Amino acid sequence: MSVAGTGHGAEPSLLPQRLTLILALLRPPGSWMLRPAVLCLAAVGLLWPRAARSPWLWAALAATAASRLVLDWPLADNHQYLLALWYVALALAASAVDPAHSLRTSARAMLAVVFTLAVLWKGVLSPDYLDGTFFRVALLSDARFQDLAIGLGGLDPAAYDANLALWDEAIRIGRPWPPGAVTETAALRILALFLTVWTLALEAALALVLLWPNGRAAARLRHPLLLVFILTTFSLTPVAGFGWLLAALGAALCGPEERRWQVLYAGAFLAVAIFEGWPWASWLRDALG
Amino acid sequence: MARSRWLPLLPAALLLLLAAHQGWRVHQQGLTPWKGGGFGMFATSDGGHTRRLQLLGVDAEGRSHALELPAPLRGAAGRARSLPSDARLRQLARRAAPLVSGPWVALRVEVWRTRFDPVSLTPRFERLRAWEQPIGRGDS
Repeated sequence: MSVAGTGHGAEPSLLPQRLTLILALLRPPGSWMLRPAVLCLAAVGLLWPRAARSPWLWAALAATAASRLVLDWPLADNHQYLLALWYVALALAASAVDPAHSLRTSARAMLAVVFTLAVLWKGVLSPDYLDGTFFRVALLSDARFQDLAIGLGGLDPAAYDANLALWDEAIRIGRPWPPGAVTETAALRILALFLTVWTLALEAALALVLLWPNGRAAARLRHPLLLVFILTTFSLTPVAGFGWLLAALGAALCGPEERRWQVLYAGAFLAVAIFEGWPWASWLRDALG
Repeated sequence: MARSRWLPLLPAALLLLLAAHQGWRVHQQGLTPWKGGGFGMFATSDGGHTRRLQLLGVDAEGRSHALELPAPLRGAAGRARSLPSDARLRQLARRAAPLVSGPWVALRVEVWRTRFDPVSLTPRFERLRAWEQPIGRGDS
């Protein structure tokens, strides 16, 4: 069976299911109780297409994902909740009359909720996002953004380390540093502002086009926007599990006439895996440094 | 027919319910917006990594003294930083009681969050939640 199917009249593509099963293999739970079960279920689903069409396989994976949420509470990342409910969607689709349509409906509604919530938090509920504080703080203190802060933010590595030490001590003992003690460049402030605006604008656009009725011009922007979001966000933030999950949901979003978009989602899935192991920001840092 | 039309929307409806639950926890129990399934990550600096959990011993005169958090409680402290509910802080104080020594009549657990000045980024620390647990004779 081909990965993306052959077009109209062909058996529905199993690409969303396969991407989800690969994700389960790449990011199994840490718990020794759940890990073997998830790995076995994912392997069975990948090796036997009939198993990947069975609601029982997805119901079992949903049960493991729900158990993981309970065991990790409250520390599980948000995409773990999305994954658990995505397994539920796959189980429902597998027992539906038209599995592909059921999955498409679920994927669109879930993505719409995710991006609407993200916009709600960034644009309305959070006190420190819109003024740019969040990304300034993240660039200066979050190790995941270190290469970006140095490479594009123009921060000297020694100054970055000094900032980090100041930061750690302040949080650890609860004593603020004196005004002006943190080194920040103009380029870093511009970068923080760009990331603030870009992220919110992209997420708002995605929420809008996902909520928009099918068949309208705006709906045609779903795939390009989601692919841009996956490729840009997960090249910067090392949360590959979330990127892979969005690629799987994106593949499910594709109608029978949109198989080429499915191929692009498979490519995005691969790109996220490459970004994860490829220290491009570090290379950029060295090249510019 | 109607069932098959609406059933695929069930996961999204559950996602919304989860988000409502997360919003309630954030508002009522100080859950960090980064956690809980509400998709508030990368939206605020108020995450577990910018929060501080402090264990204090309270003496008979009511004075409090900062105590080192016992190593076996670090995992529980990480969870309490993200979700400092009364139940979680109480449980932490109770577990700490037999692990600390001193003339304490009570143990207090406090969780502080950090706010950053939007211009200078100077941090300001706000006490988010606290729980004081009297120590009975059988506790220490």
